[in-house]
Amino acid sequence: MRIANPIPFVLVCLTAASAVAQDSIKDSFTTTNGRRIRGVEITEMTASSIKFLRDGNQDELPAALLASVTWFQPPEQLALAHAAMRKREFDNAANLFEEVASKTDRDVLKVDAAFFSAKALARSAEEDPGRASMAVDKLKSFLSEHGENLRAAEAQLELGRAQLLAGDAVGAEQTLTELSSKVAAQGLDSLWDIRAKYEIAEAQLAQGKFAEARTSFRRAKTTASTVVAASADPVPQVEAYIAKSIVGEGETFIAEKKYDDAIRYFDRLQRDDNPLVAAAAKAGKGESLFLKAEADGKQDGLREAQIVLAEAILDDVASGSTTAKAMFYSGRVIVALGAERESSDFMARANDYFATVIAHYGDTAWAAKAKEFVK
Amino acid sequence: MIGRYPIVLLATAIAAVAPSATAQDHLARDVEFVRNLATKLRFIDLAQAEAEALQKSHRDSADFKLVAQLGIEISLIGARAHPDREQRRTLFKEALEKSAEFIDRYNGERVADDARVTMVQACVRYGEFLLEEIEVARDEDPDQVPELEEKAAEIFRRGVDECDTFMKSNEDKIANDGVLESQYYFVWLNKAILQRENARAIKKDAKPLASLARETFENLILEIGEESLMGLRGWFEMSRVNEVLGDYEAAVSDFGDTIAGIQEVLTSDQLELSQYVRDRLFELLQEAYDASANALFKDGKIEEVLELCRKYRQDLVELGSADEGADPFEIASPTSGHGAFLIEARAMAESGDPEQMSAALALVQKINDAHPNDIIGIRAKSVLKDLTSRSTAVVSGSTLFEVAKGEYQQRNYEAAIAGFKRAYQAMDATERKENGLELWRYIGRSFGIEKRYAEATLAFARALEAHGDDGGKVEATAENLEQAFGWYYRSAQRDEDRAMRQLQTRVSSLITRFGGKSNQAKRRWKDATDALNRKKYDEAVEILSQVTPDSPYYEPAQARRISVLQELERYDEARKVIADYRTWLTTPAAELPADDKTGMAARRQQTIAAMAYFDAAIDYDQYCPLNGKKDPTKFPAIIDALNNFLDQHKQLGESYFPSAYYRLAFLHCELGDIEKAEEALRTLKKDFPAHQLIPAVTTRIFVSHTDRVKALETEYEAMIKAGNAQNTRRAHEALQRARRAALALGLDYSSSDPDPNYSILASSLNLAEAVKDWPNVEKLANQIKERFGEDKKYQKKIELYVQPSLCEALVRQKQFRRAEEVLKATIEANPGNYPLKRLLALTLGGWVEIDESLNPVVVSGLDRYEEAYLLMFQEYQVYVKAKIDKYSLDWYQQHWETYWFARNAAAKDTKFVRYSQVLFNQAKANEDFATLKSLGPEGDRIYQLFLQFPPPR
Repeated sequence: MRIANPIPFVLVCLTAASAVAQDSIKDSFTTTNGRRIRGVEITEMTASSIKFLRDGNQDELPAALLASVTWFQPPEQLALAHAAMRKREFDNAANLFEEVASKTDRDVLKVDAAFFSAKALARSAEEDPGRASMAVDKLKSFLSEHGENLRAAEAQLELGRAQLLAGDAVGAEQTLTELSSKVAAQGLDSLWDIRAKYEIAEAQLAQGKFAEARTSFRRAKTTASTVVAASADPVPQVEAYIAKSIVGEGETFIAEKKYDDAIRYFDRLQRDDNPLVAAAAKAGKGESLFLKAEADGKQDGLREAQIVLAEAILDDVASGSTTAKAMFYSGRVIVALGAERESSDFMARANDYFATVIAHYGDTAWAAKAKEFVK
Repeated sequence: MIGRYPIVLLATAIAAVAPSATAQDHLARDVEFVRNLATKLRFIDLAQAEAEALQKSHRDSADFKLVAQLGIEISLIGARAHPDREQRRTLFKEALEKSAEFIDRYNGERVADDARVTMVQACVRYGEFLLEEIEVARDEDPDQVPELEEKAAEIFRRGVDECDTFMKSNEDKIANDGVLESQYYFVWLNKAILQRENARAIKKDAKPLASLARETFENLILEIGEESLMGLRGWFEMSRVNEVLGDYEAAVSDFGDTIAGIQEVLTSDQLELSQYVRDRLFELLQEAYDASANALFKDGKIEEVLELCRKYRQDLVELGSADEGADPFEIASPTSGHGAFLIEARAMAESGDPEQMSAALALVQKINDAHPNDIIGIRAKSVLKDLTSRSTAVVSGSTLFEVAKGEYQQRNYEAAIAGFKRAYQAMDATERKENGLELWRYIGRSFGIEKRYAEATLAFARALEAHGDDGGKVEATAENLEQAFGWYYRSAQRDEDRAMRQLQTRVSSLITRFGGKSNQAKRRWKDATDALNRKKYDEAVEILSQVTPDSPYYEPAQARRISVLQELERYDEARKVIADYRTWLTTPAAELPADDKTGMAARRQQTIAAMAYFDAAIDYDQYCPLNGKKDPTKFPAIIDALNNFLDQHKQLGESYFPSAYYRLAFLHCELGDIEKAEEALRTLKKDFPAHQLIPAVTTRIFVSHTDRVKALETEYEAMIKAGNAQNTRRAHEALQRARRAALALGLDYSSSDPDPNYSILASSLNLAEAVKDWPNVEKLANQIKERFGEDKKYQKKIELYVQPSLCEALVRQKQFRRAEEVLKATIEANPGNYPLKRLLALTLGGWVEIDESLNPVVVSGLDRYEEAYLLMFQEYQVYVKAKIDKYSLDWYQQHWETYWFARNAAAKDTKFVRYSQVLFNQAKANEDFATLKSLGPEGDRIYQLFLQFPPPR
C-alpha cells in the first residue's frame, strides 16, 4: 500500500554497514548490590580488585563487590562447563574448563577457567574420594601460580576440603587456618574467615573430634554474628553462616550418635527469631529423629520427623541447604515408614523427593546423597 | 528481533476479495470477527471455539476452505499466546502441519496461496520462538543449542522456500489483483526477514546469510518504492541486519533515521494521511524505538537507552494524539510499544541504585500485568526474575510474589515455592496482610500438585493461622486445608501416631474457626466419626451436638447422636433428641428450600425413618437388656412400634431393618412366641442374606427352642413319676415335636453359619440323638470334630460326648463294620468309656426295633452274640453298677440288650439258655414287669420286647 503523498524520506546510505562485527571486547559483570556494568574489558582480577577498561579508560571494582562475570564471546565450552557444574557432572566440567583455558587467548579468562577446572575436580572428589589427591595437586598448583588472584581464597578453601577428603585432616586444618589468618593480613573479605572457621569445624567433625568441632562451630558463628552486627547493609551470605554454624554444632551430636542430645539441642532452637536458624533447627530435629529411629531399628518418631521436616521446608526462606536436607530426609522417612504406614505409591513419592533435591539443589551436599537413593 | 507485521493488513485484503453475495459477506464478517477476537481482544480460546464452530457449520460448503484457513490462523495466534513453552512448541508445529496439509490439499487454488501466506507467518513466528529457546538454552542447557539452531534454520529455510513458491506462481498475476499484490510484497518482505533471522540463528554463517537477506530487502524496496508503507517497513527490517551482525552502532543509526522520518511525516501539516496510514506509521515508530533501545542495551550504552526512552515517551504523547498528562504506557500499543518499556526498565536497574531498581521493578510489573499470557509477559517475568535475583535489598515482597506466580503458571513448582517463601519474607506488614493468605495458598497448592501432602497441609494451616483474620478467601482456604489433610491422612494410612493426632487437632481447630458453617459442620462430622472409631463415644456425642441446624449435616447428625446415646445407654437423652428434632421439624427454620440442590429432602426422610426406628430400639434396649432386668409388660408396645417402623419406612429405613428384625425376634422369644420369632428370622434371611445379625438371632431362637424342650422334658419326667400313662404318651409326642423343631433350627444354623458355636452344635447333636435322627447325629458329630477337634478346650468333651454319639449313629445306621472299627479304636484310646463298650456290644449283637405297626424288627448286627454278651455282662456291668440306678429305664434298656445277646448266643452254646432265663426273670422280678411298664412309652416298648422274645428253652 502506498502512502497518499510521497514523503521526503531520507535515504540511509547503507553501504557503510558492510556487516563487519565489532572486535572490541564487551564483558559485563554484576555487583553484589545489584548493579550491572556492561561493555567493559576485564583485564585483571586480584584478591583486592577487578581492573577493567571502559571506553578506553581504566577503572576498578573492589573484589568483594563482584557477584558474577559474563565474558564476551568466550569459547563455547564455557557455557557447557557451567551447565555441567550445575548438573553435577564435575569430571566433564573440569575437562571443559580446561578446554576453555586452552582455547581462549585472554589471560584473565585462562586463569579463571583454570580455577574452575580445579574446583570442578574438587567437587568430583565429594562423590569419588579417589580423585581427591588429584584435586589437591591441582589446587596447590593454582595457588602457587596465582596466589594473588581473585579466586585464591576460594581455591584455598577448596584445597582444605579436598585435603580432608584425601585423608589429610591435619593438612586440611593447616590450610584452613592459614586462610583464616590471611583474611586480616591481606584485607580479604571477612566471609573467607568465617568460611575457613566453618570448614575447620567440619574437618574436626570428620576426625571425630566432636567437642573441638563444637567449639569451632561456635567460633564461626561468633565471627559471623560480629560481622552482621557491624554491617550497615544486609549480608545474607554471612547470615547464612550463622545458621550453618548453629546447625553444625547440633550435627556433632548426631555424628556422635547422641541422638537424644541432638533432638534436645535442635528443639531449643525451633523458635529462634532468625528464620534460617529456626528452619535449620527443624531440619536438624527431623534428621535426628530419623537417624535415631534407624539406629534403634524402630519406627518411633518417624511421623513426628516427617511433620517437622515439612515445617523446616516451609520455614527455610533461603530455600537452600536446609530445604535440600529436609527434602532428602523426607524421602528417607517415607521409605522407612514403608507400605504399612504410607500409601502404596510411597516409593514413587520418596523418589520424587530425591529427584527434586538432585535437580534443584545440585550445589548442596544433599544432592550427592540423594543420588545414592534415587531409583 | 523480528517486527510484528500487522496481520490486520492481510485480513483486510482477504475480506476485500470476497464476492459480493450476501451470504459470503456475512461469512467474511464472521471470519473477521473471529480473527479480531484473537488478535485484538486476545480471547484465543473463544476464537478457537468460534473457528471450530464455523468449520462445523461450513463443512460441506464451498466456503469450508476459508474457515479452515481461519482455523490455521487462530492456531498460530494461539501458539504465540500460550504461556507454556512446550505447548507453544506443539501449537506452532501444529499450525505448520495444518498449513502444509491445507496447501497440499488445495494446491493450485487461490486458497492455497492464502494458506501459504499463513505458513510463511507461521515460520516467522515459530522461528522467533526457537530463537528465544536458543537464548534460554545458552544459559540453562547449552547442550541443546546446536539442535535448536538446526531446527530454527530448518524452519527459516522452509519459510523461504514457501515464499519462493508463492512468489514464483503469482508474479504474473499481481498486476490485476490488488489483494494478491499486497500478499506478494508481504511474502517478499517476510522472505527477507526469514533470511535475516536465519543469519541470527546460525552465528557461524551470519555474514553470508545476512548479505542474502540484505539483497532481498534492497530488491523489495527498489521494487515497491521506499516511500510506500511496505517500503518503509522494508527499510526498518533491513536496518536490523546490522543488529544481527553485532553492528549495533549502525543499527541504532538506521533506527534513528526511521524514527526521524516517521516523526517528520506525522508532524507534517502538508501531508494528508488516512487514519489507517497514520496508525501503521505510529506502530512502526514504536517498533523502531523498541529495536533501537534493544540495540543500545546490547551495546552496553545504558545512558543512551534511558535518553532514548525519554524521547520515546515524549513521542507517544505528542504523536499519539493523546491528552497532555496521559500515561505513555497506556498510549503505546501492547504488541508494538511495550517492548521498549521493558528495555527501559532493564536499563534503569543496571545502576543497582535502590530507587532506580524499585522504579524498574514497578515498571516491569506493570508490563507483566498488562501481558498475562503473551510473549511480552513471559519476557517480563524473566526480567523480573533476573532483577530480583540480583538485588535482595530493595525488591518488594509484592513484586517477588508476582515473579513467583509466574513460576507457578509455568508449572515450575519448586522454583515457585522458593519464590513465594522469599516473597513472604520480603513483605512488610501491610503487604502480608494484603497478600499473605493468597501467598500461602499458592504454596499449599504447589505442594499439593507435587503430592507433598504434609507440606501442603502445613502451608494451608499457616495461611489461616497467620492471615485467617485478614479477610480474603478464608473459607476456601479452610476447604483446601481440609482436603490437604485428608490426602495426608489417607496417604499415611490413617496413622494414629501422636504427632498425627496433634496435627489433626490443629487442623480441626482451624477449620472450626475459619471454615464457614458448611466446612465446620463437615469437620465436626468427620471428627465425630474419628471419635467413634476410637470408641470415644462421649466425645462423639459432644461434637455432634455442635452441628448447627443451618448445615446439611444437622439432620444426619441427630440420628447419629441418638445412635451413640443409645450405645451409651443414655436413653432419656436420646429420647429428648428425638423429641427436639420432631419439634424442630415443625418450625420455619426446618423448611426445605425450593431448589433443594443438596438432597436435603432425602436426608430428612432418612432421618425421620431413623427416628422411628430409634423410638422402638431405645425402648427395647432399656426394657429388654441383654444382661439386666427385663420388663415384659413393655414388649407388646415395642413389638408394635417395630412393626410400624418396618411397614412405613421400607425404602429409606432399610439400613435399620436387620436390627429391627433382630429385636423383633428377641422380643418374640422372650414372650415365648417362637414361631413369630422364626418368621422374623426368615424375613431377615430372605431380605438380608448373610447379614451379620443372623447368627445371633438364630442362636436366640434356638435357645428358646431348647428351653421349651427342657420344659417339656421336665413335664414328661414328672408325668412318668406320677405314673400318668395316658398323658405321658401325648407329652412324649409333644416333646419329640419340640425336639425336632429345635433340631431343624440347629441344623439350619450348622449349615449356614460360617463360624458355628460349639454349644449349639452340641445341643443339636443331643436333640438329634433324642429323636434318633442318626444321619444328623453322624453329620453333627463329624462337624463338631472337624471344627473343634484341634481345640484343647473341647477335646475332652468331644471324647466323652461327641465320639460316643458318632459311634452310636454309625451303629444305629447299621454301618456295623465301620462302627466296630471306630468303636474299637475309640475304646482303645479311652478304655474307661463304658457306653462305647455297650455300643460295641450292640454292633456285635444287634437289637430289636419296633416299627410303625408295632411289629418287632430284628437288627442282626455282626451276629457275634457271645462276644456281645460278654462285653455287656463282664465289662459294661461295672458301669451299670456304678452309674445306673437299678430298675430305671436305662437299667432296663441295658438289661434287655444283655438278655438279647444271651438269648441269641444260646443257639450256639446252650449255657446261654440259662443265662437268658436268669436275665429274663430279673427283669420280670416279682411284679410281672410292673416297674418296667410304669416307665412310660419307652418302658412299655421294652416290656413288649421281653414278651415278644421270651427266653429259649
